[in-house]
Amino acid sequence: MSSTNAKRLIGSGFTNFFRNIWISIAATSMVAITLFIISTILVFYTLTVLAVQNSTDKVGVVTAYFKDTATDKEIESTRADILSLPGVKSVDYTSKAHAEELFKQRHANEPALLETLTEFSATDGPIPASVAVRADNLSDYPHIYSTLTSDRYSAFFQTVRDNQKIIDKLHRIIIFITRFGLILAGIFIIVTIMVTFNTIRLTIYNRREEVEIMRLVGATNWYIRWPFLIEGIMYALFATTFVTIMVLILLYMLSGKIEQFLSIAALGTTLFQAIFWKILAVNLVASIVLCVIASSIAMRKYLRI
Amino acid sequence: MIKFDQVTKTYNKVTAIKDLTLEIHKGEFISLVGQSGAGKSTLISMIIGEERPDSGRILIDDIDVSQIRRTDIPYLRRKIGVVFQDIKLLPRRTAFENVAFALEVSGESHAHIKKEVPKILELVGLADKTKAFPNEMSGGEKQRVAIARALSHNPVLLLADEPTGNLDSINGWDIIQLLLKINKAGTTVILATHAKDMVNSVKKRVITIEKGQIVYDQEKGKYVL
Repeated sequence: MSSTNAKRLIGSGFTNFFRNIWISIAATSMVAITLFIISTILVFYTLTVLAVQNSTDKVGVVTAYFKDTATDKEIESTRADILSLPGVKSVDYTSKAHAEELFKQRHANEPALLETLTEFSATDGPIPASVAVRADNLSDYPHIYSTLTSDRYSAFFQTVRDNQKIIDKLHRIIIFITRFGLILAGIFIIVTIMVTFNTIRLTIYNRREEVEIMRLVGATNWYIRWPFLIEGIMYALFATTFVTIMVLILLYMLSGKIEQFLSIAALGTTLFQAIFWKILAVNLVASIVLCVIASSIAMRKYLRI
Repeated sequence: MIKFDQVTKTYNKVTAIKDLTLEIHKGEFISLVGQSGAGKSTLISMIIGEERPDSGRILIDDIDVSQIRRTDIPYLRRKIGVVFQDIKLLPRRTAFENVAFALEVSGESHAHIKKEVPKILELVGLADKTKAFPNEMSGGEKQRVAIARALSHNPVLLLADEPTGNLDSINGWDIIQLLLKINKAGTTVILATHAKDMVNSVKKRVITIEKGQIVYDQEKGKYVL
């Protein structure tokens, strides 16, 4: 396509858009509402994942307690072995002495409890050495737990404890948000396609004489189609710009409070970094795809070329 | 130049064109006459690839229009100018812009358009109306703009389907004179019309169609129905 033609077609798309400005605003608003819903879902999803990640780092570990008979060599080789398991992110070892230290710190105000410790010898403390295993993903925990409780490790561990119930609950929240969001987005995507389709149909109707003349004087099919596609893409671009600015303002106003509330900063990330560019990319791609689909259906159905 | 070879076209079991064979030579001026529904417009629609025949072949300069690919139709239409009774001008564009529009859609440069359109408008006698909108022009002037638009691609063939149908006799006669002038310059012209007096005055080849078939084909003929 020559630059002259490209300029004419883009100009024609703009003319379509501004000639029926109120209809165009209605279509753009509908696209913007859908994008806003998609953005909100993305924000909630990301926040939930970050919050879950944060909680998991605190509570979501499988802790395995060594038998008193386990030697240092066995403990070391077991640690290395667990670290090589699929899905394992980290293995933190707590020695008997360190565990006792932590116990003392935690119960510093309970002298009766601390008293009981003195009844054990220095080498024969009641609190066993342990490893805290963290997984890459929440879904990896059941597999890690079953591996640590299997015969493979039964000679070294006396007890293996997990936080499966909490993890399951967090997992269910993520699944719920994802499903609910997808259903909501799906409904609005369909409505948006219908509204955009109808708007393009009206434009085609309004420009029917022009289209007929274009055909008669030898315009190619794509030369006739492009302005309607460009009009659809303009709805997408205007809606994306509007929603992105809205999200930018909202993130700017709220991200500090949210980060503080969810302790996200502790994960070494900020909400803005985690979300903004993702939202912009998803909105841009989603809106253009939606509008091009709607325009194409309208053209196929109503544009006689 | 144009050859219809045993062409038949039916619409919902109604035969519009029946086994029609016809040859038109380069540079001819043809008056195509017949009652409403005789098949004149169907014939014109098939020449520009708007309709396809059910059987037979239509050749324009060795291009078989009956077999032409849809994507090639726009290029065929740039070789053929068409003028209609209802004129079909864009109301929000000036005379200049209406003619320029035809050149724009075929990708002509701005400089070419700026140079050519005034020439074409001058040819049809509208040099002083370039900035006029359709609602500021008479019926005859609007039809001249439509003819100018049809000529913009420098076509080898000009089809005029009842171009004087909505005009008074003076304006109608002016349009016929313009078509004769265009024909004299070398363009083949096919004029589908009901205007008996005009056809008789032109004294060119007249093809009379009735129920989709040619009933008369006379050099320097007359309107005989």
